[in-house]
Amino acid sequence: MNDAPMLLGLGVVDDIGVVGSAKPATRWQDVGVTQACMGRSYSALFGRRDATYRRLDRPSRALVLAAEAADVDGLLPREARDDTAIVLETVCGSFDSDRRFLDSLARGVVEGAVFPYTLPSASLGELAQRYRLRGPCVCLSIEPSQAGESLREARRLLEDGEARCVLAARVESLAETWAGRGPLLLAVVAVLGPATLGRPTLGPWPADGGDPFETLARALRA
Amino acid sequence: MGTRRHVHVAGRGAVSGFGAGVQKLVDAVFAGRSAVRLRERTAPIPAPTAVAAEVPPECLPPAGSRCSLAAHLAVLAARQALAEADADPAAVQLVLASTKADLSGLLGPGTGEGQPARLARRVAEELELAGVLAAVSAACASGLVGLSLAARRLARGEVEQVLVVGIDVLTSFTMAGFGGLHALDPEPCRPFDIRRRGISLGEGAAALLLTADGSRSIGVRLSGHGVSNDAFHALQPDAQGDGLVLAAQRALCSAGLTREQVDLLHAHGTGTTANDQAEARGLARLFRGATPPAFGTKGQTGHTLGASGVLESLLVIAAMERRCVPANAGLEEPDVDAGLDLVRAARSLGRARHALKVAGGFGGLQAALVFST
Repeated sequence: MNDAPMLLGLGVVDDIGVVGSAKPATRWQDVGVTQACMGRSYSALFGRRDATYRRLDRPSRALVLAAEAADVDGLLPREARDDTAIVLETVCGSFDSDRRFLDSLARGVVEGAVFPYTLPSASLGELAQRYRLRGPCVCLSIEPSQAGESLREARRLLEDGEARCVLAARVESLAETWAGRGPLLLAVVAVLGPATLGRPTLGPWPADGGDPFETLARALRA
Repeated sequence: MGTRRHVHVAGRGAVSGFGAGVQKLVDAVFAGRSAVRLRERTAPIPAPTAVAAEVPPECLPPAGSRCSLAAHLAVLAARQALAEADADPAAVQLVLASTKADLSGLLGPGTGEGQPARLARRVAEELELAGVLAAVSAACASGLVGLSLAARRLARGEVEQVLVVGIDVLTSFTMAGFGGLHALDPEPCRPFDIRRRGISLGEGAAALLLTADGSRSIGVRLSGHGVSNDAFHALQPDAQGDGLVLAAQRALCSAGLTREQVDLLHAHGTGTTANDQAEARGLARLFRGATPPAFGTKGQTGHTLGASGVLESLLVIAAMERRCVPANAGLEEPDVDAGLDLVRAARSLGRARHALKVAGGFGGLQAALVFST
């Protein structure tokens, strides 16, 4: 692409609540949600229904809420969606769903509906399906030191012309402690694309170094 | 965008139901043999099928080894690829592709907890590689997506050599999961056949060492890659195969080829009703109703999940080298779009310059690669 890629939208979900470029900071308790990302959180936050939200695992729910807070639907023109990529990064992956599925096996009941969410790429598919995004997509399993890898891969896809826009995302969801981390919840969706898309830009490309998603989330909260 | 570098294949490795080594895999597949047989090591695992393609006992970690099965197989395959390429491991970066990587810590006394990144670090350390470029988890398209990612980095000039390893092993976790989805054929699977009833699971590891240095090529390039999403359903493929077509078109475009230039085709061919139908429909449409000779090999290797893309790429390369497309094992009466030219008896090719390989996975993922001689 010829234009320098820009940050067009941003949404963040964590254990405090939801905030985004299209959503003022909202704490869970502000909308009567007693548990982060619980089944009614979508309608409580956005005032409309999503028929399939309840069946999602928590990482997928968090990503959907973050994407809504970034107003992905409003930012991406229809004609750009076939060429909009999704690059998702995660350290924890599907650990919660893995544990839940294993618990079901231990009880002698195979929870078939949980199994697909034991793939960390499942939540990427949920985003693609909701917004009809058919560009290249990849889920990167990362170590904490590799944070921001999805942003770097997004840049490559844009520079090489493989995508017109990219959702670069990070999701971490742990209901319990694992590997010295957790419980935790963080989902960040950054919408990246050219300034020529005709959308107001939030600013230049997120700075590299450290954990750019943490930096973005902090900046948005501030 | 500056000049793109070519991406060459310099080394190959495999551990499959046929044993350790690419030659064993290729010879068995071209001879029409199948590694899908009565389960032995995994026989105690309850599942609605008695068969799977297990790696043979001689490929398992030695007794007392602290190495998990996943790490062991990945290292075995990787060493073969490094050896064929005569590569200095310290100059090679790793891309690891897997669905569940190493679950040994969740299922037993091991340390793996399902994160491909951790398995990648373990494998890179064991092989004393330069480092981990990426760990990809893209469902059953993981292998092709990993190869695509590696090709991008090589073409851009960011790296010189990348070892792409696809790996997944049979566990109670995956067997119960696919069983719970009613996706397992109780008998050896028959992709594209009217009697198909689902997949047969397999396990293994496969490796391709990619380089930008043409002088080290085995004579095959990874000339194009494309990835897309169906944006349709979490589990079911788009019935028209639209996402697959998009991925294949992107791969052909990236290779600078037209569909008429493709000489052979390796299908994903899982053996599930919906996947096979959608895939055949999409490929038939892509090739305007008449595809090049097509084969799928999951009836022989089993579905090795995250390893399948790399493992099957080895078979694509073998078909190009032999100028021959092997028969689709288990296929007696095709039950998919007739535009997909499924090979029933091994067919010699006059020309095998360009081959298309496709794969798909849960979450709507679709991926395609083009290999060229």
